[in-house]
Amino acid sequence: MSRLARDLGGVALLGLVLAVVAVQVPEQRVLLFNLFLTFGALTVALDLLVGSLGMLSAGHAAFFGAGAYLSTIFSQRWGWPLPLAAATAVIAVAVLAAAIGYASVTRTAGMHFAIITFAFGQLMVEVVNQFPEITGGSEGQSVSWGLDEDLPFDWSIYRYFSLWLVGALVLTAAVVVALRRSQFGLRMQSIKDDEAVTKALGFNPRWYKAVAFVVASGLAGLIGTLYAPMTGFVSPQFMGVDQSVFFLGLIIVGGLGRVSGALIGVLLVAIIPLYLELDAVTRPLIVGVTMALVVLFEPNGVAGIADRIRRLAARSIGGRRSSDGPGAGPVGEPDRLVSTHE
Amino acid sequence: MGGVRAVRDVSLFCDDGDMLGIIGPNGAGKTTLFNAICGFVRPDAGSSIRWSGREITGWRPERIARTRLLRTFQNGGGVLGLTVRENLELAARDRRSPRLAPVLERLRLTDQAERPVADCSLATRKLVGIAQAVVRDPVLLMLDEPLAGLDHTDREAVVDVIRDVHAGGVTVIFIEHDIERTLRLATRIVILDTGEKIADGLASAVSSQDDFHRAYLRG
Repeated sequence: MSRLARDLGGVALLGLVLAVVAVQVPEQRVLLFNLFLTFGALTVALDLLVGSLGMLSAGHAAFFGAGAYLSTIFSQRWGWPLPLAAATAVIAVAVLAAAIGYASVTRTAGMHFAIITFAFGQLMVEVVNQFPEITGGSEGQSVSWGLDEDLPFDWSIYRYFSLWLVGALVLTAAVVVALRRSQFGLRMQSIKDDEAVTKALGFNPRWYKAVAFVVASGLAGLIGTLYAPMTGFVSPQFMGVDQSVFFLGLIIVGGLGRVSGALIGVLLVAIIPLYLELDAVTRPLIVGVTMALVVLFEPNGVAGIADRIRRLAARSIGGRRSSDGPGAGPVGEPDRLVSTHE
Repeated sequence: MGGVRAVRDVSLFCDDGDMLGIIGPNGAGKTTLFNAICGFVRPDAGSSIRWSGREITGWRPERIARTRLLRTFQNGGGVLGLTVRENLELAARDRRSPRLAPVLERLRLTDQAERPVADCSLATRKLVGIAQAVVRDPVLLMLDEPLAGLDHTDREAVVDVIRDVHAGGVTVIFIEHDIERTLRLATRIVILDTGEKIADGLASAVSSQDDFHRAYLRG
C-alpha cells in the first residue's frame, strides 16, 4: 500500500471515530467537542504552512474570521442560500489569500513573512471595525442559519455542527495529507530544507509557497463559515493576531508536520484545560508552562516524544537482535560509499 | 551546439562533450562564476551568458535549470528530509519515472535508496546531488567541488561516477581543489585567480604552465 493510501486510510478512520464521538458525546460537552474540531481543522491547515514549509503565518485566524464574516454577510444581510453563501465566502477568502500570499511570498521570507501576515491580519480586523453597519463592528453580530426545524433527528443544532465540523476536519486533513504525499509535498520539503537546491532543480519556491498559503487560508475560511453559525456569534476577537499566535503555539507543542501533532497540541493546550474547568488564573499558567517546557525540551513537540519512545523501543529490540549474530547491528547499512560497489 | 559564455573579467567557453575542470585558490571566484551562470547571482552590467544559442543573462535559476543546465552545490547534495529515492522522484518530477532505477543503479545508490539523506555519508549525499541532476537528463552538468570533504576511496568512487556520466554524453564543468584528480578527469582546465582567468587549455598543457604552479603554491 502506498504511503498516501495508508495516510488517507488513517484520516478516514479518524473521521469515523470522530463521527461516532459526535453522535455519542454528552450534550454538555458538545460545544467543547466542536471547539476541538474547529481548532483541530484550523491547526492542521496552518501546519501545511508551518510544518511543511517553515512559513510562520500570523494571519491564519484572520482568514478564519473572514470566512465567518463573509458567509454571514452573504446569507444574513444579502439573503443568499446557505450553500452559495458558504462556497462564495470560501472562494473569496482564497482569492484574498492569493493576493496577500503572492505579495508576501514574493517579497518576503522567514520572519518578514510572519510580520507581513501579522500586518494583513490586523488590517482585516480594522476593516471589520470600520464598517459596523455591515459587520457589527467591534461588538460583533449574531449569526443564525435558522435550520432547527428542517433537520431530521431529535438532536440539538450543535450536534449537527459536530458532524459538519468532523467533515471539515476530515477534508482539511485529507487535503493536507494528499499534498504532503504528492510531488507537491516533495517540493515543499525541498523548499523547507534548501531553497537554492530547489531552484537548481527547476522549481520556483514562491509558487509552491503561494499555493500552500491559498490552500491553508481557504480551508481556514471554510472552517470559519461553519464555526460562526455554530457559536451563533461572530466578532473581531475571532480573527486577531493573538488567536493566530495561539494556533502556532498549539502545533509547536503538538509537533510540526503531521496531523496527529496538531490534534495533540489542540487537545493538550486548548481542550483539556477547558474540560477540567480550571480557573482563569490556573489555566493560562498551566498552558504557558506546558508550552515553554515542550519547546525547551522537545523541539519536535509531544508527537516527537512519542517518536523518541518508539525509537528507543526499536533500538532495544534491535540491540537484542544484534547479539544474535555478527553484522546484525542496529546501525543498518555501512556509511562508506565504497562498500556499495565493492 | 551547446555553449556557455560568462563575460567580463572572465571569458569562458565550453563546447559540447567537454569535461572542463575549473581550479584556483579559495576566493578565486569559482563558485561565483557558477552562481552567475546558473542565475543565482546577477552578473555585472555588460556581462553576457549564452547557453545553447540563447542569451540567459538575468534568467531565474529555476528557468535556467529547466533548459537542462543543472548544477550541484559544494556542501553536499540532496534534500535532507527525504530519502535517496524521494530525492530522485523529486528531481524527475514523477514517482514512477522509468529513469529512477537506472540512475540509482548507475550512481551506485540502489542499496541506499530507502535511506533518509540526513543519515547518509557526505559521499553518498554528493552522489545524490549528482543523481538528481542526472535524472533530469542534463545537457550540461556543473559540479561544485564534488570531491571536497571525501577521503581517498570515496573520491575515486565519485570520480568514476563523473566519468561515467560524461561518457553517457553529458557535458561537465566542475570546480575542484583536488589537482591530481582534476588533471586525470578533465579534458580542459581553466585556472582562476582573484576573479581572473590566468590559464585555459588542455589539461596536459595547463599543468606545465608557470601560472598553474604559482596559483597552487599560493593556494
